[in-house]
Amino acid sequence: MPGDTKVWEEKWTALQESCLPAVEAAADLDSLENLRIKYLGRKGVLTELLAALKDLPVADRRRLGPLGNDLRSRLEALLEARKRGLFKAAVDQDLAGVKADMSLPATPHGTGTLHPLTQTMEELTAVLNRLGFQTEEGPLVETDYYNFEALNIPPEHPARDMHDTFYVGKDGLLLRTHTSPVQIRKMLNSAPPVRIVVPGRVFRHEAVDASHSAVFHQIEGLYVDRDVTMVDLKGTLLHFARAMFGSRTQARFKPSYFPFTEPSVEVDVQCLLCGGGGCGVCKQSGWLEMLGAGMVHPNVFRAVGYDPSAWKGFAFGIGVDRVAMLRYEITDIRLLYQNDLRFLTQF
Amino acid sequence: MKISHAWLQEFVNSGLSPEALQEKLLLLGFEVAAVQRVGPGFANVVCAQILDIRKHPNADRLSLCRVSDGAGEFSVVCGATNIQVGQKVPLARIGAKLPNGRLIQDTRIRGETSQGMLCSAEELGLAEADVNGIHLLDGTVSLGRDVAELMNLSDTVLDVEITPNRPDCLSHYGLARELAAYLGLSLRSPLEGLELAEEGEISVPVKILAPEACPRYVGRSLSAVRVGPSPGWLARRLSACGFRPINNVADVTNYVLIELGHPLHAFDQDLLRGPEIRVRWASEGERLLGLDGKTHLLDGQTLVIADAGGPVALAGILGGSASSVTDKTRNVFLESAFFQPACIRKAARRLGIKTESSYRFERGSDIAMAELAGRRAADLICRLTQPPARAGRARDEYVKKDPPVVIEAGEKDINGLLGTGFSPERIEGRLKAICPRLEKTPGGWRLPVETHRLDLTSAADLAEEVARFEGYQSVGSEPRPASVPPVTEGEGRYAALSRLRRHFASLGFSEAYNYDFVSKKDLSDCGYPDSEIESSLVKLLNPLSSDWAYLRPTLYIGLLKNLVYNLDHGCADVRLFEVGHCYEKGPEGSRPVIERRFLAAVLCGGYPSQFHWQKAKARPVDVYDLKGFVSSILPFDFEAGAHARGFLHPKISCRALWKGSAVGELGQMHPAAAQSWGIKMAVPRGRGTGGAGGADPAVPRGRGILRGASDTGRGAGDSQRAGAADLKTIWFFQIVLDELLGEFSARRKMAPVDALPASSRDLSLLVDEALAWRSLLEEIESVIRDPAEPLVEAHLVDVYSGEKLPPQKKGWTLRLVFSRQDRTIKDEEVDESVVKILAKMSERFGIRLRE
Repeated sequence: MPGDTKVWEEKWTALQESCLPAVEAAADLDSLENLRIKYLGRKGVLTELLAALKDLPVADRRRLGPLGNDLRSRLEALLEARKRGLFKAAVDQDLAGVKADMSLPATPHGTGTLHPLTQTMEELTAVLNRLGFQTEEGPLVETDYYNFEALNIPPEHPARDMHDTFYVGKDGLLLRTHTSPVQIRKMLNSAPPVRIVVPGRVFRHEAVDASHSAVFHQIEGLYVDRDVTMVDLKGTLLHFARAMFGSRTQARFKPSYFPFTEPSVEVDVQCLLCGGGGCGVCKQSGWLEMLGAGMVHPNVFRAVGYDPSAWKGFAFGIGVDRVAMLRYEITDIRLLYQNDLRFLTQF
Repeated sequence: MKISHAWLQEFVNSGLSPEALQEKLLLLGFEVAAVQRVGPGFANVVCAQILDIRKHPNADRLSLCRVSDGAGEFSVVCGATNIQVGQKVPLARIGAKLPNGRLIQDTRIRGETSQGMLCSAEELGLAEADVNGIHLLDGTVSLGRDVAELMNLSDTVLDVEITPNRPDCLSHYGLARELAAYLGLSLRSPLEGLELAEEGEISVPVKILAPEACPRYVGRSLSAVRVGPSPGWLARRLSACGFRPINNVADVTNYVLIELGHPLHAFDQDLLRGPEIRVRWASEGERLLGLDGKTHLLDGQTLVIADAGGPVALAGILGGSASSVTDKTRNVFLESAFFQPACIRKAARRLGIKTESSYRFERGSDIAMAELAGRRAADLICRLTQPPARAGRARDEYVKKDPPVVIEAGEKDINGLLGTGFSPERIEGRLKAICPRLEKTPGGWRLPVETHRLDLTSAADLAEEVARFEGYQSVGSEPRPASVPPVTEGEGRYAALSRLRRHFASLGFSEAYNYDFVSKKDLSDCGYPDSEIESSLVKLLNPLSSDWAYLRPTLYIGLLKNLVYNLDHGCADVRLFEVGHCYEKGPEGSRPVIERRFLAAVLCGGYPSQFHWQKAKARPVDVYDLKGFVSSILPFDFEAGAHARGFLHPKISCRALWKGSAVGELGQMHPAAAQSWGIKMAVPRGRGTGGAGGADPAVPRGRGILRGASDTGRGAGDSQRAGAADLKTIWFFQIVLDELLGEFSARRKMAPVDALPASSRDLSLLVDEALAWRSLLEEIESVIRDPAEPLVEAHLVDVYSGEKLPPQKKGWTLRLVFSRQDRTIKDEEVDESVVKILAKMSERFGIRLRE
């Protein structure tokens, strides 16, 4: 039916002329949606026009089909573009009315802090963990045997003068004066090789002042293996000092005395505050005493049943409170145990 | 110990300045704690000659002297009578300072000008008493010469820290011996060329009854002793080293102590009651009045020197007052002995006495030195007294001789421990400086140790000596690759602890570190009855103070004190946590002290803040916040009621259960307890209405968290209105961590996540006022556990009470979530399940839907 083709063509022309300007002219999202329904809805004008194609002769259908589809594509594209434009305009209008003061105070979440001693202790422990030292702990209430005797400090040994001790029981029960008893516990429980780091709290029976605390913290390291030498000790401690205080840290190794090591070593690092030039903190010496260390004394090996001719080892200890005080420039050790929030929340 | 640089130089002429010496000592392991210049105490005093002496016109006892210092002439008023024209004397010029602080000025004395002062020995600090008037200088001294310089009075005193293993260095000679060995220099001994003229009586007999404690005792009598002040040079040396000069006899014993390191004791021999001196253990209950002015009660473990009448000295520690040397003493009995270190230390510690003598004996003295030190002291006393005293022959009781210590060592023992490559020749050279009697053996060396080196017992000790002498810097610092240590179990616990701390810090808690010590009052204020303190808590035998008498059984006390401190210092929102050990006595037959690691926290104020501009964020902390904090550790079960001791609120508190056993507690601090800690609380109104910081105690509280679901209900929130009283409410929780740490690091297994959409229904329920949420929850959980039922979650989303409800009822709104694992759930299935659940709730608890 040629007449149908003509009608279709007229409708298409009219629609093409009217629909695009109508969409162009839509003022808001609602009228845009109404136009979409009007033209492209299930019973929309264009939808029906395209549906009517199937009633045309095949030749006309082939000719006019692309025209119809082209109009639909253009209409859809325009609708989408207009929708985006109108939406943006609507949002902009809404936002224009928003009043917000971004300078108002935040809600204080996560304002808690880890104690500077925890932070220091965890960092120092982590350095040694990376070197293969495994974390171990032990009880704070110790026996005289673990704290002294097994560490080559028999009763009435003058080195006990360096360990003012709190006693909690007549049967030699005491608060450990150093983390070294954990060395003994570890070696009694496991066969060599042993490589441990022991962070923990220790006690000394001494009056509390700006630089002395009856409670403080230490980190202890112990490495036992075949053929461990003082060279290994020095290398490890140099690495440890540099990991803690910077890669250019200088260290100085001096002879010292601890009953459980032979030879015994004291390690100074170049003053962190003045860089070695001399200041009040290092008493003008340019050096700070940092670590006590040494090669494990054969008597300690004997006490734990290791053969001193087959095994060698080194041990070292460091005062955590002192390191924390130097790192954070804390001037009074008592601040670490006062728990003043104005202090704690600085770290 | 204080070491005079000049004195040390007499024994080893190192030529080192005090600074250089300090450096060398540090390399050897002797730290110098302080360096002190000891001046003569005066300046601007020069040698002058008396040119003329006239009588002072206005004073009988004064004279007018004309003196010259070579450069000029001065007129000086002088009161001394021993001056003559031509003598050379010390002139303190105008501007001079004297040891007593006196400043010499141009002055007029009774109308006559005095341009300086002529000085006596006392005025220059050279003698204790002014006996001889003006100090006369040798006629050969050139005029104008500085007197301090002339008399060589300047010195440097080094305060050297001697480690406990080196008692042999606790003297000038001992330290010089160490330096000589190190520097390869010759050593001069004060005993060189000492020829004591022994005459007269052999000493008082000595009987050693405790050879295990006193293997050697050398006694010597000195007769015709004139006790008096020591000469200036000796007194000055003692003073420089920190000893107060007393009299020539006592001073000599101290002098020999710091010269040779061997302690001596001098008795007034005439006050010793004969026939012999005994070295024995004290009898229980014996007493001795010591030179310290105190009477000491002795026991069977104290070694004494006794005469017929009883103890006259605490062996090696302290002399007795009754037999001490005084100005009246004519005959002296001089003791030079060796006492076993442990025996001296034990007695000194028990008696609470620490002397220079006990300090050395308990570290270990040189048994070979006993006779030499006695001889040196006798010689000094004879030379210093006028007329000279006479020394008798010594009686040397050497009853127990120990064989010498011999160490066998080889090159490998040294280099193997140090990681060095020192040649055998080099090692031998170092060892020979320490053990001169060293012998070569096929395997290395045989080293008989000198009697003063008590610290050398093994090859490791010799390795340290070689390292010290070579210098620790000569040991390398390049570690070799180490073997891999075995993996140990339980490593994850430390990581878990670290995570836990970080978790609470991000929840807004700051970490506290408290001492482990608490007082009895603290414990009582925390509700511990005396009987429990006595029977279960750990008491220190030697606390620093009564405030720190016990080891804490709880972290509450420290945290509470921190809270009070922070409130007092103007901090209103306090959130602190602590991880620490707590202690209790163990039951009979187990460990004497049970030590467990706790986590505890204290909260006060608003959450997250007390002062926030958004009112919802400035609300007070409540008990459900606490349950939330604790539940964020692990999904605990909770059970109402917590602290038996009345520290926590009886109603607003609960226990945290893990796998059925109580591991912790949380709750509001009991208002009465808070009062006793000086925290201002809302005044209770009695009759159980609102005394608990605004919370309605009748609102039941119970289990609050469902596994996998969060406890968002804040039931009492509406009855806990914000206000001053609320903000001062104090909250605590405390958890025992030990058993739980393993749970944190336990391996987790994935459970499949529902991919299909869920449906939810809100039910508004009318509930009996007395019903606890926990009871209903248990019922609901049983439905969730039933695989046939589609219910997967239940949340309590509203709790209300009010006049619109029937009496004795309260309203709860539940949000129930339903889903099926294998298909999208249908509405009809949900409806069916809701009906079932409602029927069950109605049957069990009489719950019905609100109209």
